[in-house]
Amino acid sequence: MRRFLAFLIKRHIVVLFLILQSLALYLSAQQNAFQKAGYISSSNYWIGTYYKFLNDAVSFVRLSTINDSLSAENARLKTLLVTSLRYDSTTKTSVIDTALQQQFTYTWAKVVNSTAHLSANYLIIDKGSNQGIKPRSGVMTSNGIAGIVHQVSPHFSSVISVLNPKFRLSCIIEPLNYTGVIFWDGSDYQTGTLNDIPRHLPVKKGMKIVTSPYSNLFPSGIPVGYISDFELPSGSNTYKITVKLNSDMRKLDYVYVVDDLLKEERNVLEKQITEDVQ
Amino acid sequence: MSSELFSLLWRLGLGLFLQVTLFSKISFLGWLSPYPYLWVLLLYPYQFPRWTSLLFGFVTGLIVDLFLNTGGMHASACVWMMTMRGYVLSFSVPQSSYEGDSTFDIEEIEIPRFATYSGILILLHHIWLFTLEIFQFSKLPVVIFKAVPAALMSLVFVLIFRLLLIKSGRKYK
Repeated sequence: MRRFLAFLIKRHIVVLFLILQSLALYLSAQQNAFQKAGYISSSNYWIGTYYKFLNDAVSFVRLSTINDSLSAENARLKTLLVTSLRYDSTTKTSVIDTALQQQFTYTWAKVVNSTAHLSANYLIIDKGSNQGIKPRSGVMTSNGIAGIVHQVSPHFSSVISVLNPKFRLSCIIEPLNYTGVIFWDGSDYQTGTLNDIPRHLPVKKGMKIVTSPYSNLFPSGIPVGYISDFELPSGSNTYKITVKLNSDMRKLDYVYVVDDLLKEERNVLEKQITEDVQ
Repeated sequence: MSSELFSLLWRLGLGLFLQVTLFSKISFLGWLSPYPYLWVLLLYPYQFPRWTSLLFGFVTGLIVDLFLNTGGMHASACVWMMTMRGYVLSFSVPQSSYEGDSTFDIEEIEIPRFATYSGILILLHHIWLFTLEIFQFSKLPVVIFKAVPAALMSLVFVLIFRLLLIKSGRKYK
């Protein structure tokens, strides 16, 4: 025992190196596990507050661009209003409001910190559990998608950015109505990769990619991007499709967190299916 | 000792503040981001026991991790860098010129030698960091491809800090 202690003291740098390294690697492994809450995270209250302060100081300069994007979105939404549609049928039916049930609600939030240059990127938004944000809710921008809520604290939430290898979303090529999975391959902050599209489909550049009804994170039909390039790897049955993303992940200001009111109900059924299969 | 501790803490505050507010927001060409907070670690007093430098590296890295949401990657890379510091110092500055000198101060190494010392350590740190960061993609050549230009960029900022904030190199040529 004494000789062992003497050995430890003699080699204390190596011992300390090993202890600290394993601690650090344990912490980063915790961070990488999707469902687990990382100990070292900037959804922490103090760090969130600091980033918010910083963001308030800087965002003033960009108010005009933010205004432009918001008014563009308003214009897009106005065209969707019932009042801007003409009813083009001779038989008139009345809409009974009680037949429509609210499924999605949206909470707006300000992005107080974001990265786009790391291999796994996160956003921090200034709304948290006090404002009803739940983990695993979709996050949208005014023209596309931004990520999935990861962890929530009372005032802030961390969001897994689209630019994160953990991000996976079921999408459809709108003109073909065929489902694939979109993810980020880690190279370019403007593009994602769409997989699982079989080779017999007539894929063309410029086709729109929207969210699919299979996903329980976003309403279906939310624009994601468009096909900018595709190839058929030799010996493969599926295309490798490059998707140009609509949202500019380096210039995020305001985002919307989607809350699906029927998610629980759907999850119960889907869980039942997986249990039955097993 | 106490004045050294004071300047160490002062540098720690300044370095972390600039890293978190300014340098982490830089992403040159969309992926290149410098980490000049390493300046704080490079100037950690040589007289302090070596094990304290490992702990100091761990804590500094962990604070950066907290802000950048990187788990423990920076802590890991910093501990690695602080472990290698002694060896790198011994072949970038002739050991005879500082061995047993209780007033030896890394701040006073003249610029070319300081650049070698910092350059090697920063490169070691960046290779370690990008290896951890990119682990999930399993693309090894990308690590070197990213680490070298990022290390150069960090080194430039560290040297700028060194020139702006410190007494000129008068000893340990």
